[in-house]
Amino acid sequence: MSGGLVIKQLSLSFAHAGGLAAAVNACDLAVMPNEIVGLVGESGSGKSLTALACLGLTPPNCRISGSVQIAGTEIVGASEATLAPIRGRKIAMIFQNPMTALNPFFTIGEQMMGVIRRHFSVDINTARASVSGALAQSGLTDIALKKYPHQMSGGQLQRAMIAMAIACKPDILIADEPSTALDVTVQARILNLLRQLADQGMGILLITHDLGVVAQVADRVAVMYSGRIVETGDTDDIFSSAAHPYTLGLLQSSPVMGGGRRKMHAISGVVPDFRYRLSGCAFRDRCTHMQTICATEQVALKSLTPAHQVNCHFPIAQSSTAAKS
Amino acid sequence: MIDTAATLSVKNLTKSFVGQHGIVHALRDVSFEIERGQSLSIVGESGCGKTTAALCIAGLQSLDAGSVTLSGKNFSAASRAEQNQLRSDFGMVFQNPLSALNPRMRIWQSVAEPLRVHQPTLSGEMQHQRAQAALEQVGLGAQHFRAFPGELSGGQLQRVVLARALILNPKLVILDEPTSALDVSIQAQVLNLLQELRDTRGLSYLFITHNLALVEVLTDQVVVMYAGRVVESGPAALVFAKPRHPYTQELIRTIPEATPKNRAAFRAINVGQIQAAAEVGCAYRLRCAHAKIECANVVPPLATQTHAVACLFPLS
Repeated sequence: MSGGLVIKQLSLSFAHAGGLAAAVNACDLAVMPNEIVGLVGESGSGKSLTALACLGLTPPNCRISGSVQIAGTEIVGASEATLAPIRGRKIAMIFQNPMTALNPFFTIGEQMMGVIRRHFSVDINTARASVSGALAQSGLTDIALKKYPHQMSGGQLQRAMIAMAIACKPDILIADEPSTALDVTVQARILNLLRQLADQGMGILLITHDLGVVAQVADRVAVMYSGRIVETGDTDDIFSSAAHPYTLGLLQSSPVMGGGRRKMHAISGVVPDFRYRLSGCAFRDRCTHMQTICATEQVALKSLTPAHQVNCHFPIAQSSTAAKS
Repeated sequence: MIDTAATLSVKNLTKSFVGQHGIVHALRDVSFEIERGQSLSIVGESGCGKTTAALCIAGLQSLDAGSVTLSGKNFSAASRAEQNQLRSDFGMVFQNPLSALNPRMRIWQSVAEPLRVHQPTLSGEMQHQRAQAALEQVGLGAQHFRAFPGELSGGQLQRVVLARALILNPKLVILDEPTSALDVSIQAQVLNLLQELRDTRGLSYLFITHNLALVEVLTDQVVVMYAGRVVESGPAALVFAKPRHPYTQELIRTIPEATPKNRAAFRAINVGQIQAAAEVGCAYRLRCAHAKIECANVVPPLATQTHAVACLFPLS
C-alpha cells in the first residue's frame, strides 16, 4: 500500500460569517501504481481542492484534517522542508490551462531543467538527457526545448506540461482537467498518453467533469458532490449500474451520439454553495428519490460490493440501472 | 416574396488574416444555407474557421469576398446604417456569458439594451416590461431582474444572454459554443430551453460547436469545417451515421462518450502529435489514413449533393 496516494477522512474547511464550512468532507480515496482513478464532479464539488491538498498547496485560511499519504509520507501538517522534496519528485500535477501554468519568460527547456536540477544533483548534460527523454515520452521533440510557451499550440503545451511532470518519474500524477481546453482529436491523444503512463507504472488521479473521459481511460471512478464522495467503484460497474441518483443523473445528461432530436435529461437546480449546504444529504433538493430521512441524516458510504460503494439512503437497485443502460 | 427566401444564405465566404508566419486563410469559399425554420451546426477543431464564419455572418468581421444574405436581404453589401437595422433580425450568444455582459449593468438593463438601440422611442417603463417578459421566458424569476452579472451562476448568465438575443424577436440566433463553459447537468437544462424556444417561436439556429454529440440535439443540418473549408455537409443524421470524409470520421471516433462500450477503439487512437494542415492539395492529407498521391495535387471540390463531401476518395 505504501507506493500510492492514500487519502483518509480528509476534510477541508473555511471560516465564513456563519461559522465553519467544509468544502471537502471526510473524503476517502486511494490511487495505486498502474491505475487511473477518475475523480468526477461538477464545478464547486471540491475535486480541485482535494488535489491541492495532496500537494500540500491548500490556501492558508483552509483548515485541514484527516490524512494524505504519498508513498508512506504524511502530507497533512507537514513542513515545507518535508514537502519540497516530495513535490515534483513523488507527486506531480498538471493543470487545465497549460498557458497559465507555465512561465511565459522562460523556454520550455529552461523550465524543465529547473525541475530536474531541483531534485537531483546532476550535471547539465545528464539533466538535458532526462528532459529529452521525458519530452520524447510525451510525443515532443527537442525542438520544444528552445520554444517559449506562446510559440506552441494548446496540445503541445499540455504535452510539455506532462513532460515536465514526468521528468522526475513521480509515483503519482494528478491531472486536473488536463484535456478540457483541447479539441476532441487532441484530447483523445493526451488521454491515451496518460493511459500509457499508467500502464508503465504511474498512478494517476484524473480530475474531470466529463464522464466520457472517465469511461474511456479510467480503471476506477469516484463521484464527488458538494464535498463528499457519493459513489465509488470500478469504471464498468459505475457505468453499468450506477447506484447514486446523482451519478445516474450525470450519466443521463451526458450527450451521446446518434440520439437524434431529443430532450436532454437535466438535473434540476444547481450545485449548492458549500457555505450553505443542506442538512442531511446535500443532493436531496435535486433528487427524485428524496424521502424524509434524507433531510435529517447524512448516510455513511455503504458497500454494495467490496469494490462498489455508495453514499445514499436509497441507492438505485442494481437491476433497474442495468436495464436502463 | 421574403417568406420563401432562406433565413440565411452564405455564399463563397472568404477571409484571410495576416499573421506572424504569413497569411492565414481562415475561410476559403465557405457556402451554406439555412432554410426557413431549419437549423444548422458548424463543427470542427479550433482554428478551423467556425467562429470566424459566425463573426463574418454577424458583420462583426469584414469579408474579403463572398456574400451573406439574411431573409433575402443582402447583409454583407448593405451600408453600415442598413446593417445595423438588419441586425435586429438575428441575435448572438457567445461562449462565455460573463464576458458578454457588462458587469456594472443590472440584468434587466443588459437585456433591454437592444431595445434602446433599435426601438429608441420605447418608454423606460415598456423597456422594463419587455425585459421582464424576456427573462421570464428563459426561466429567470423576479429576484434576478435587478441583480448584477457577478451574482448569477454560469447557467443563469447564459439564460440572460439568451433573453437579450431574443428580445427583438429575431428569426436567426447564432450560438457560438453556448454550453461549453457549463457543467453537464446545467448544459442539459440550457439545451432543453434552446429546443423549447426553437419549437415555440420558430427560430432558426446557427449552432457552432466542437461537440458533435450536441449537434443533433439542436439542429438538422451539419457543416464540417477543416482549415477554413467545408469538407462535408448534409443532414446530421446521415453525416454521422455514414461519414464520407475521413476527417468527419476522426471527429466522431475521438468523442469520449459516457459509456465504456467503445473503449477499445478509443484507446487504439495513437498518442502522437497531429500533423498540421497541408498548404497544397487536400489540407487534411497529412493526417489522413486514406491519402493517396493524387491528394497532393488538387484541392478536392465540395460536391453539390444533399450529403456533400470534399474528398477525392470518399469513404463508402
